[in-house]
Amino acid sequence: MYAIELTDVFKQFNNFSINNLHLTIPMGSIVGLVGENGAGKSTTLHMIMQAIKKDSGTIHVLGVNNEADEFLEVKQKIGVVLDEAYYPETLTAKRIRIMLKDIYHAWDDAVFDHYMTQFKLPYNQVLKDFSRGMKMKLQLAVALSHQAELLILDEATSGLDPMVREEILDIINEFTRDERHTVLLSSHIVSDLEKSCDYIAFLDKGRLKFMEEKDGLLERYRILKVAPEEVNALTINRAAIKGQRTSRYAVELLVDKDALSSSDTIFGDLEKVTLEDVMILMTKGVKRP
Amino acid sequence: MKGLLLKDIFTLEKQMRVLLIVIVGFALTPASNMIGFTMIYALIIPISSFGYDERAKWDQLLRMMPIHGKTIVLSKYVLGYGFFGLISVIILIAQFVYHAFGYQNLSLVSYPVFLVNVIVMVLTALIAYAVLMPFIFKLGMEKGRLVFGAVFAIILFLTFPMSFFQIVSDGIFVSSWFIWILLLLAIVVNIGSIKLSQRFYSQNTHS
Repeated sequence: MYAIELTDVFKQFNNFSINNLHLTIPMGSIVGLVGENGAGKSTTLHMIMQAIKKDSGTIHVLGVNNEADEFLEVKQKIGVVLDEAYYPETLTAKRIRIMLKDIYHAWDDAVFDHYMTQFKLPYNQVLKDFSRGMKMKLQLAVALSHQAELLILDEATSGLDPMVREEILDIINEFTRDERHTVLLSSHIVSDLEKSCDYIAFLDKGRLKFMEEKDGLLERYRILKVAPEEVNALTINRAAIKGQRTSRYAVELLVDKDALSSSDTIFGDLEKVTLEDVMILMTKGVKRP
Repeated sequence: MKGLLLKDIFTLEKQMRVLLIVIVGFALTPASNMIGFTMIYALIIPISSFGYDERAKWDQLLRMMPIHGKTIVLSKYVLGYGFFGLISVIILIAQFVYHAFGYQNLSLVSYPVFLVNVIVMVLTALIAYAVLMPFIFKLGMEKGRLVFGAVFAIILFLTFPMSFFQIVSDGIFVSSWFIWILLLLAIVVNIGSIKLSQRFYSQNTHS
């Protein structure tokens, strides 16, 4: 069962497009959406929430087509944390609570109060005087206070200090202890995703490069370092090379172990990769001789 | 919708306190030709809620919430109607008190004429509001302000002669079909305006 299912989704902007995006988010998982700026992460999240309309394709969220009238009811079960708290800055947490109580049918004051206390947030201070970290925590408190089954976080940890990031990631992990709960989060901070995600989806220029289980991904790829003059002499399946980074003294190749054939000869060591390596090298691509 | 209205009231309350005092001051002024000013001023408050929304990029969050686009648009109209209604009630109560306690000499017209005059001004304000709203939903607050300026100028132009006529001829509108036409016009323009704004709001989802 999928919490989110995108099939053949296409969206054209002036200088950018999301191309035939197929993406499935398994129920009960934490999925990290990575990609450089402008790769289409936020657009994808906004299309899922029907905040931006797609040109073609279908999107199902918690089993409902997001263009159907029933999707409004599904939205009641989705908690959203955006890259900024887009509430008018003259509002206080107390007033936001009063306002949202009417918008979310399952709003639970006790849960909100619990997170307000846990995050040490003031009720009567206007948002203008909140730090970025406080605003993000407030958004998270809101997202968790209406019995959400799905959390969508768009760059929620960007610009936050490590302590606050850690705190937010802990809450997200706690949320997915219930197997019906799912999290989809986009972030530039790949180490955050590496820490908490079960799956990684990598978007590059509006295309999905891969969506894989994180542990399998880190196991599957390796880095091969060779001298620049040795690159052309390599006797490995070229299709196994998924990206490369060239410096003056060495060339780092991102190698897909599964695509290597038994006859391939590897000179040198295959080093373990980080998620950041995979993302950067894949984005750079391969220079063919 | 209640949540959206609460949000607008909370936002405006903090920022518009001074303007509210000015408007209530106008509303309490015995002279009936102040109604026009009061209503024009009253337009500013519900419209300014768009400015606060845009500054906060509130719409980005709003579109993530379980609220139908039509409700979002309608809430802005209801905010305006509620505000004009509130101001009108304040004006009418104040004038009633002036008349009831024998301060008729403060007022330039009899109470029934004054009442009709208020109705005319409220209907005019509602039409102006309805004309302006689709522009704001289509163009945003910044460009919408230019349109607002134009609407403001037209209202001012229309209001002065109407007040003058009303003052000199005491009761010219009372038995006139003018009010009924204005009422019909206000209803038609507002229904059309709401439909158009809802369409514009929905189109913005495509961008």
